[in-house]
Amino acid sequence: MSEYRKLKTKFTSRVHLREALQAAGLKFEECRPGHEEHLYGYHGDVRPETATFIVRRSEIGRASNDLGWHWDTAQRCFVEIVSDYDRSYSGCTRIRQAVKREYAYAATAAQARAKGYRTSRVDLPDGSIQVMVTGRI
Amino acid sequence: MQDFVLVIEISADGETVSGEVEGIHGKRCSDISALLDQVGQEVEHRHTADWDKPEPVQIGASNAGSVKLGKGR
Repeated sequence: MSEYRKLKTKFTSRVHLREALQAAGLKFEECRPGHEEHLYGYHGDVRPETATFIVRRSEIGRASNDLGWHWDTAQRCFVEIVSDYDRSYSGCTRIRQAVKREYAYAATAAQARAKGYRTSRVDLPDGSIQVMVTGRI
Repeated sequence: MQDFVLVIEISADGETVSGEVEGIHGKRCSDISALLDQVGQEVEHRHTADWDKPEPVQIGASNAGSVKLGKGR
């Protein structure tokens, strides 16, 4: 081994976030660039928060609120919009974690493919993902 | 040319991604680990002993040199 890196996942790419939501098997809405829609609470109330990508509460749980990913111009990344209730609801947590895992995979696989490298993926029993990228340089 | 393997582990909660480059000596391994740049924000980065090893030198036909054989006595 010659080099080791560790990174914290950050949603900087619209394309990879879309791929992640699809890979996670979620039904979601996506707004066109420059536009966002309001999220709804579990009472059907319109929330002030807006998001580019939205998973409606009906896809999450009976008492859940909409889950969204809002483009933060200052941070130049998408940030999760999740209610306090859903932060502690396991169903929503599973969704959020799946989206993050799939985003990390999509971002890495795309870079590897662009360079012509081979990738193989193994989904491990503990929920983590191992990716092997091989090639010559 | 060197063969390499980049082993990537994505945590179960998706919060962290780690990658280790194997099979490459020297600073070229940074070209491989750069694949992770799009994932997010770096929180740890270290080099191992192989980082300081020189990259293997490849001798090709153009620089193999030649030996002229003279007649024996």
